[in-house]
Amino acid sequence: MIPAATSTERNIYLPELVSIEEILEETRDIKTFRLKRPGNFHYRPGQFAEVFVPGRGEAPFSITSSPTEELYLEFSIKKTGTVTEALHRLNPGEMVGVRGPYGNGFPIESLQGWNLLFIGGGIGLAPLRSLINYVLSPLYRKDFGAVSILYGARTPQDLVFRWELQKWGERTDLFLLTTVDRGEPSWEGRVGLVPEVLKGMPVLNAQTLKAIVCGPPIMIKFTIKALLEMGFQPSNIITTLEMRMKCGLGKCGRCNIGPYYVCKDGPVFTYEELQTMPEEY
Amino acid sequence: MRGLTMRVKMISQEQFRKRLAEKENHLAITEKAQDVHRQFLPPGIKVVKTPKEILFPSWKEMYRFFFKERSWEIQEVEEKAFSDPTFLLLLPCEARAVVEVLDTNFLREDYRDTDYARRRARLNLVILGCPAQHPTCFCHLVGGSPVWRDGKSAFVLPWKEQFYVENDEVLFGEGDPVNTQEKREIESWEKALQEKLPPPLSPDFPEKLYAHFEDPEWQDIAFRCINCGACTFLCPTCYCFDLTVDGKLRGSMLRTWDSCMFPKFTLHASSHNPRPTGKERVRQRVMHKFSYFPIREKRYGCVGCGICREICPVNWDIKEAVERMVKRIDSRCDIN
Repeated sequence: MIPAATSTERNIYLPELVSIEEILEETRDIKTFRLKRPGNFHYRPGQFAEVFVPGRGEAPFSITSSPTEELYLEFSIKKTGTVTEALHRLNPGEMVGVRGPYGNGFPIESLQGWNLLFIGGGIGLAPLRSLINYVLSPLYRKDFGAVSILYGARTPQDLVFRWELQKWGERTDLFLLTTVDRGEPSWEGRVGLVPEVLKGMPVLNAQTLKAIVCGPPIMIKFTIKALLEMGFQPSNIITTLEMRMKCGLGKCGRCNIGPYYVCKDGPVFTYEELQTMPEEY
Repeated sequence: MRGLTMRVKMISQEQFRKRLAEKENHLAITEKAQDVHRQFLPPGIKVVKTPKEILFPSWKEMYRFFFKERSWEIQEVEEKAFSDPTFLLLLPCEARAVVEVLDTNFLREDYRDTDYARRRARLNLVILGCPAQHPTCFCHLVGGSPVWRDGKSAFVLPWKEQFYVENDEVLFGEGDPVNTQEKREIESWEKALQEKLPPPLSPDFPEKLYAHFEDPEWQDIAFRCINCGACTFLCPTCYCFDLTVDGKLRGSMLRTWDSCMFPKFTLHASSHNPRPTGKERVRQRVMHKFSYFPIREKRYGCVGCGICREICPVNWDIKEAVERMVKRIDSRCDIN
C-alpha cells in the first residue's frame, strides 16, 4: 500500500527564510546577494536553489559561492522578470526564502587530476565561479592541475565579479583572460567574441584539459564548436543548461528534454551526453 | 496479515447498488466509469472528471506566508478534516494512470509530494472492469486492457446477473464464494477478451520514436492543434504543474495545473523559448507520453483512455498522431 505521509515528513516545496547579509552591485542590472547559509544546506558547485520572494514568487538561480564558504550563500542575479525585479528592490537585512540545493552539480571526481579551462560568458560566470573558488581553495587546490579562465561580456561594464577577477588575475597559479565584444577607450583587455579569442589562446593541449563552459545559448553553441575543432573530446566538454524551471524536483515537467529533467539530471551535462538529447534547449 | 491468496466473492446487483448508496458520502466515481456502468449505479454519487480531481486538484496551497511585526513568516497549511471521498470508482485505464504514472511522479523516493501522498494513502481505488470498449479508447495500444488491475486495489466485474469482486474488504460487504466453475468461466472469458484485442505498440517503439525527433511529419501532425490545453487538463496522466504566488503581504504558494501546450510553459526570462511553436509543443506532448517517459520509467505515459480525443475542440487525435509515426518508422523513411 501507499505509505501515509507522517507528520514529520518534509514538505518538499517549503523554503527556509534567511536574511540578506550583503548586496554587491556587479553591473547596472546584476547584483550579487549574499545570504546567510542555512545550517543544513550542503551543496556541490554547479547546483542551484529556488529563491522565494514573499508575495512575489520563486525562481531558480545557480549558487555562485563555493561550498567552502561556510557562512554564506551567494546568488548573482540579473534583473529580467517579476521575481528578479523584486529581488533587486530588497535591502540587506530583509528576508528571502531558499530551498535546495537541486541538480547534479559539476562532476568534481572526474575533474580531479585534470587541467581545467573555464569559459564563461556574461552572467554565465556565476555557476563557474562556485567551482573556480572550490578548486582554488587551499583545501582542494592540489587535487586539480593548471587552471585557465576565459571570460567574456558585451562591454567592460557588463563584466561581473570585477573585484574577484582582479584577485584571480593576481594569482600565479592560474591564467586569466578577459574579453569584451565591444571595447572602449579605457579598456586594456582583449576585444572579440569568446569562441574567437578561445581559438587564439596560447598553447592549449586539448588532451590534458577539461573545458567547463557556461553562458548564453548562442555562445555555448559556438564555443563547443571551437573546442571540438581544437581537438577536445565531447566527454571533456562540460556545460550547464538553462531551462525554465519551477519545482526543481523533477516533477513539474517544464525542463524536460528527452528522458531527462534538467533540474534533476542536470543542469550539468557533458557534450557527449548532450549529443544523445533532442536539441530543444 | 493478509492471506496470500486473493480474496474474491460474488455479490448481487442489488447489494452492489445498496452498498454504494449507503457509502454515498465517502464515494466518488469518474465520469467515464459512470458512462460505462450507469445502469448499476444508485443516483447521487459524486462524479469527478478524472482521478486528478481528488489526488492532484487543479490548485492547492503548498504553504502560506505573511508579513508580521516587520518580518516574514512561512507556515504549513493546516490539514482540515478530510472531506474528500475515500473510495473512487474508476475504469482500468484511469486506475493505471494513477498507479503507473501519477504515483511514479509524485511518490518518487527522492522527493515525495506530501500532499499527494496524503491524498493517495487515504483513497481506495475500486476498479470497475470495462466490458464495452468505447470507440475513442485504445488501452490495448499501450499495454492496458479492459480488465487491467494492479492486484492490490479492489476490482469489480459485472458477471451475468451478479458482480465478481476481488480484493474488497469493506465497501461491498460479505458475498458468496466464487465456485470453481465460475472462476474458470471468468478466466476463459478474460482470456478470450485479451486475445480479441488488437496488438500493442512494439516494445521498441519509444526508442524508435526518439530517433524520429526531427521527422518533418511533426509539422503536419501539429498543424490542426490550436494549443488550447484542454487535453492536458482532462488527461488522467498529465501531471505538469506550476508554482505560483497568490497574495502580497499575506498569501500562499499554489501548486496549479499547467500545460506543455502553452508557449509560456518553457519561456526563459531572456525571452528565448526552446519550444517556440505549436510543432515543438505537440511533439513534446506525444514524445513525453510515448518516448521520454517510457524510456525513463519503462511504461507508457498514456493509458489510452481516449478522453483527449473526445473533448478536443478541433478533433486533434493523439492515436492518429502515434499511428502516423508508426507508419513513418515502419516505412524507414529517411528522416534527414
